[in-house]
Amino acid sequence: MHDVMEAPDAEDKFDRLRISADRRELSRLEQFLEHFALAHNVDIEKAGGFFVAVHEIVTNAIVHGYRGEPGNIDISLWWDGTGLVARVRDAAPHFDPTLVPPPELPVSPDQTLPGGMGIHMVRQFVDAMSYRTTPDGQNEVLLVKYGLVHTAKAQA
Amino acid sequence: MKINVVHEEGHVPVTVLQVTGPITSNEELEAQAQAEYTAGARNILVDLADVPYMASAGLRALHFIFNLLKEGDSGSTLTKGIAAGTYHSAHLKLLRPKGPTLEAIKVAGYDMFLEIYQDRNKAIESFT
Repeated sequence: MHDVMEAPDAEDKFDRLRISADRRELSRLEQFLEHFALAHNVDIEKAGGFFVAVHEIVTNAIVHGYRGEPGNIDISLWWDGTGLVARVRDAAPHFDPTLVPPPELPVSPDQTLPGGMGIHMVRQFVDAMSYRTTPDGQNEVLLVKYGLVHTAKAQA
Repeated sequence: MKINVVHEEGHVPVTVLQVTGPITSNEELEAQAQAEYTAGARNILVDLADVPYMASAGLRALHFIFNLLKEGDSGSTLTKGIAAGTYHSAHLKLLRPKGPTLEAIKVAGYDMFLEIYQDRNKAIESFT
């Protein structure tokens, strides 16, 4: 497991977005990720799995965390030298996605989509996922993907 | 995400849903499929060639469309058929998923009951 890392101190070395806990805000996340890929010259198809993982964690926070209550979700992305890191923070009730058991697969189309599919996809698409509660009581999920080729924003 | 609808005539009428952009919500695709079904569509080909990635919401939408279109396929017969690799939906098929989109489909095992085509014409002709 990759060590939990801190976001770079310099503001220009990471990208961040704050959205409200509302599914309609997911389009803003989609645009944010697309802009990140363009700005850092990342192949969106190669990074797509990682972006799916970010979407799943954020969607989980909206749907299962806040459950319709108002709140914010903060997403940060940065390169740590070996890979791309995403940090998702929210102030919903504590929930550790790393503890979600894998769904029963393959999915039977005759039944409803089983719970845990989103987190299962996260596990498939990232190299490391970790969870902690921050000192101020927020949920914090870190996702790491190695091996993505990019032009770092700070070097551009 | 944008959805373009094209109506084709193969052996039977086929509605092609051409999706462009990431699929990160299920509502729009489900609503479009429901509207087409209500208008008479019974065979749907979802063109995923321009979908760079698909979240679990996309799987949920495909699940919805499958159930919308299935006719009499249910219960243990369907489950056994999928497990044996002998069952594929006759009414919902996929065209050209790639990269993370294809990976998501395989992760969930959807490729076990949804046929995947690379050629549009062959896909349309496969509906009977």
